[in-house]
Amino acid sequence: MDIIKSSFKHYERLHLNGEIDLHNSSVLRETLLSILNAEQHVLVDFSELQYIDSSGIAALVESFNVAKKQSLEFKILGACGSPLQVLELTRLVSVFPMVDSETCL
Amino acid sequence: MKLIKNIECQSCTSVLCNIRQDVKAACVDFGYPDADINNIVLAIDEACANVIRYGYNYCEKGWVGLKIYENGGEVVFHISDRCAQICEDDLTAKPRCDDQPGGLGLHIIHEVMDSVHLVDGPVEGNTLELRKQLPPKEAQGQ
Repeated sequence: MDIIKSSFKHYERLHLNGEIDLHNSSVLRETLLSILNAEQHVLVDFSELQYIDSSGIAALVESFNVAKKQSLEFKILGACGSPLQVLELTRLVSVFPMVDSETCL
Repeated sequence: MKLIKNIECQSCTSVLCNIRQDVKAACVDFGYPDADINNIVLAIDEACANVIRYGYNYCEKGWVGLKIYENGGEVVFHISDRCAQICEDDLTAKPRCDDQPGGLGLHIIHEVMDSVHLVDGPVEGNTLELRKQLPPKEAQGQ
């Protein structure tokens, strides 16, 4: 898994590439929490993410809850394929704010 | 039951990627549609990850076995370990609260698979049996 950080509008954008599972989801969790700790809005870019398991989803849920408490935005961009199926299976598509493309932001 | 694939590995999180590849290849051969393959791979990954995380508490010296069988119109997955024995109650998916991170793995396994049970067998450890109907012949490979 690669995580590339960049700025996009008022968001800190995390571009996820590859596969997130129990082996590396702690890296995602720490990265997300460090951004929120710096009080930045988060945009998690799923567009090139190939796989995510429940440990990765749990990192997103925990971070989303932290963002809500801090009144920070937390959005998922471009979810498709297997990662989108996981969000549907866990019924989290209706919990996370999701956007299809950058133009929606 | 006809044994299709037999995988044995150490209880390292780094092996999960290889297990997913093997399960995906088997599911392609069985003719499941892509969406089902994604879900089955995820469910098996979750079951193996649970063994590593909760059974072995991330100790990498444990043993994990995965056997894939074809049994008539269904595929049977056996995930085995040598951990402290668990019971059927431990496999019950707890009611989920959407904004809480816990319990997702077991929820996924139950959502994807047709049945989730422990099988009697090994003197030590556990064998989790997951069953999934094969797709209808006319739908295979779509």
